[in-house]
Amino acid sequence: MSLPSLTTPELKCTVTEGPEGLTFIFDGRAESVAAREALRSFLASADQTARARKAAQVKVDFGPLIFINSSCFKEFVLWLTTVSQRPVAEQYRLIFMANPGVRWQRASLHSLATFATNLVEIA
Amino acid sequence: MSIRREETLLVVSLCFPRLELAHLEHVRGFLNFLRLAPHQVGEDLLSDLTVSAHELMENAIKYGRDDGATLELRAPPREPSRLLVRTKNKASQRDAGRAGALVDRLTRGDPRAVYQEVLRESAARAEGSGLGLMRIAAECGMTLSTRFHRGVLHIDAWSNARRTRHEPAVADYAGAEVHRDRGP
Repeated sequence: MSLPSLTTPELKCTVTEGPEGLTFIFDGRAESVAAREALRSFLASADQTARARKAAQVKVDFGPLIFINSSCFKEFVLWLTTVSQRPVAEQYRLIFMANPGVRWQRASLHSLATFATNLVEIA
Repeated sequence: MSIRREETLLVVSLCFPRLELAHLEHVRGFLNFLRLAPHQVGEDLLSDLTVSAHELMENAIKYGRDDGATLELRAPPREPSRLLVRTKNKASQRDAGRAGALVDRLTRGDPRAVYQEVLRESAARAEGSGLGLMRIAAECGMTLSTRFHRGVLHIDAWSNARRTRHEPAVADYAGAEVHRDRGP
């Protein structure tokens, strides 16, 4: 299975695969209807890829992300919900990274970590 | 955009004659002038105000009736330590009631606990996030209130303190404790 891709005029995600597993680096603005739809499709593919690789963890970097609105943020909530509803043996951990100088990133990732305490770690 | 002095110290307004989501791109830039006063408004507060303005305006565009909407930033002289982000738009009684009910729910409990409940509810719904006002209260630490008068819905988001670059934000999320015994 090839790595998923997300490239829209306003939002993109760079996906890499290394010794530590998959890393997703989000860049741009996640705030339009088109971005939300692209994000939904991309995160479904990201989940399929992680499962196909039997990943123990994936890294998700919000650092370069300029903004995410609540509709797009919900797509990450749905991703966590999907993973959490599987048997534990089929789950993987999500390690989120924020730019420490950006308050909304810290706050939003803290919300995700509280929402899915057994899955999410903030690096 | 207009800037005027009234009974309040400062009012900055951005008017949206048409309710189109494409106009949201102007919202973040709207508040960038606050960077000219770094001793009064630090980056954390600017982030809170910007998220609040964006989420409020997005709601106004999605749920407002025609005739546009207005986004305001106010600095009242009687409360110089606080800043107010306000949206005004025509709305149906039903949508105004829903906004009011969400704000009531937030004010009755701990906003962060209510936010987590709403995250779970939102995950179970196919469409609509219902998270905008929650983010403002729980993630930005803003205090929300609503008023519906003559068909116009006002939603106010007050900052709880004017923070400088050297003062911590309302909540330091980097050091916040996460309880790991509760699943989603």
